[in-house]
Amino acid sequence: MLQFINVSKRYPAGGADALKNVNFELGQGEMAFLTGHSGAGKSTLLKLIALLERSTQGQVMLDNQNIGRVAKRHVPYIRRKIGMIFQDHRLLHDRSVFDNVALPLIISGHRHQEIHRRVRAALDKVGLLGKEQRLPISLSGGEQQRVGIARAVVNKPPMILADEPTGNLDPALSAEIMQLFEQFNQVGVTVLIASHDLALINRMGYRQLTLANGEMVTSNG
Amino acid sequence: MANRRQTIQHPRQAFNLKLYLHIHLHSFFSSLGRLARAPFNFMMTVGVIAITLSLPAGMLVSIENLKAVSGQIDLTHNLSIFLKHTVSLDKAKELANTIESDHKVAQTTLIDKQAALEEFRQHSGFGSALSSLGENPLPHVIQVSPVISFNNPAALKSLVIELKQHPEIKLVQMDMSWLERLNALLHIAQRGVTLITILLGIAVLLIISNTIRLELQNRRAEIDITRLVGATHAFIKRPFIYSGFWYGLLGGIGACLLVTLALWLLDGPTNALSSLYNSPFSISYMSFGSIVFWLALSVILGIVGSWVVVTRHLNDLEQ
Repeated sequence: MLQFINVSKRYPAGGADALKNVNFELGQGEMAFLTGHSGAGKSTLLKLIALLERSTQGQVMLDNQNIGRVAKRHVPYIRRKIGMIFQDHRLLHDRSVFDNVALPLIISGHRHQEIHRRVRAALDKVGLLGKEQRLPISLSGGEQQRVGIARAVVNKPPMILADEPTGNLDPALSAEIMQLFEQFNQVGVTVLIASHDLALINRMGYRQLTLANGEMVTSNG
Repeated sequence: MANRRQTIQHPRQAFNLKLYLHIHLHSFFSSLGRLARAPFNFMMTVGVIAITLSLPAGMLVSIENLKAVSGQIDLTHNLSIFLKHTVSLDKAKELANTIESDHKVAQTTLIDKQAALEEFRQHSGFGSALSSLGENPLPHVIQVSPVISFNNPAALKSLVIELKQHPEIKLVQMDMSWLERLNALLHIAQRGVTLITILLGIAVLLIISNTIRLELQNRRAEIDITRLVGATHAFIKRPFIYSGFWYGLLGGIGACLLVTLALWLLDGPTNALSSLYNSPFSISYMSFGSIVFWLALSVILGIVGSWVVVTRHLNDLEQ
């Protein structure tokens, strides 16, 4: 599903490499955690997959396709295969929960009834059914994160990337969010979660990819 | 590579006209709704565009009106024919009748040199000086009004050449030159208005670009999020281009309203003035064609202005 081959990334401004010669492979339907200290390169690695950045060297393969080489105009279609979840939720605060979750479907041009059905299904899965018309600001942090998750999965992407999804949540809420990811993984979605909540990760027992100073130090769980 | 690129395109999205129209209608009205939510800012920009465009539009309609005035000027006594001194009054009358029988001529008036001298003596104040002259220095004069269809400079010139064939005629003078000058001035004014239209059109383009640029900054987070969930550039651009459309359309309507209001305010005094001159002239308002022209121009400026800014912005964002 996802493969990094000798990937390096250097930002033009700073001198040091954010990623150095990273190699790993994530199989179809696999779930893994990406760990490491702040600044180890976790976010950079996720950005390379979502094409928010491009690698300086090496190949990032998604579905056997070198996405580092795709033309700009194809980038949106690659992003539609990936559900992205962020620590700060990245919700539109002037739109209702429904409109936020519906955004990926509107973008890919689904029909009205289809949008309604899928948004309700996604909100049901994250336990927010009945709160469609609320504004994100009126929800708790954990609920806002669920809205972000619903938005990421509403399009049924084959892969979910989460960048510190539990960073601002207490342990109980964090565990609930992680259970959600497990549920998506059980229906065949490939999941990669960047997190430094080692206690939680170790308890869950999935494969861990550990970055240190831009290098992949362990890639086996 | 090329084949592989094909596969990442969107196979399920065969072109669907209904869906396409639906998406466009959605952007169309949602962009208007967004503008209506900040009505003060919106109306300020629309006002600036309206005033900017009303200047050239107003000038153009003024020139059209002046042209109408110059066209309506009664061209009686367009040509003055000065006869040779040796021509007698009877001969002059005969000639006047001959000229009047020409199909190009509507009417002739003979000014007898004796009558003219008397008139001149009374009104000029040169009475005693004229008395000291042995003989009347004035010739007989025939004034010629051409028919309406010959009421233009070129046709009149050909008439002059024909008239000069008569041996009794010494000089034919056209009283047209001031009219030609007026027309020339109007021509220059028209050229000037064209230049002003271009300059102010660029100004409108810049106003709209800048407004859209500010809107892009305000909605930066929203743009980032829609990009993250896989929005194409076309999808992101659409609402901004519709905003440009609305600015252009409403600015254009505002400009037409301003010009019409100004003409309406001038209508009363103009009618009073033209009735003093017994002229049937009254102000003509913007024609349907010119309204369509100004609306189309301002809509095009709106769309182009926003398109350029949004395209540049998105290209800067994407690697």
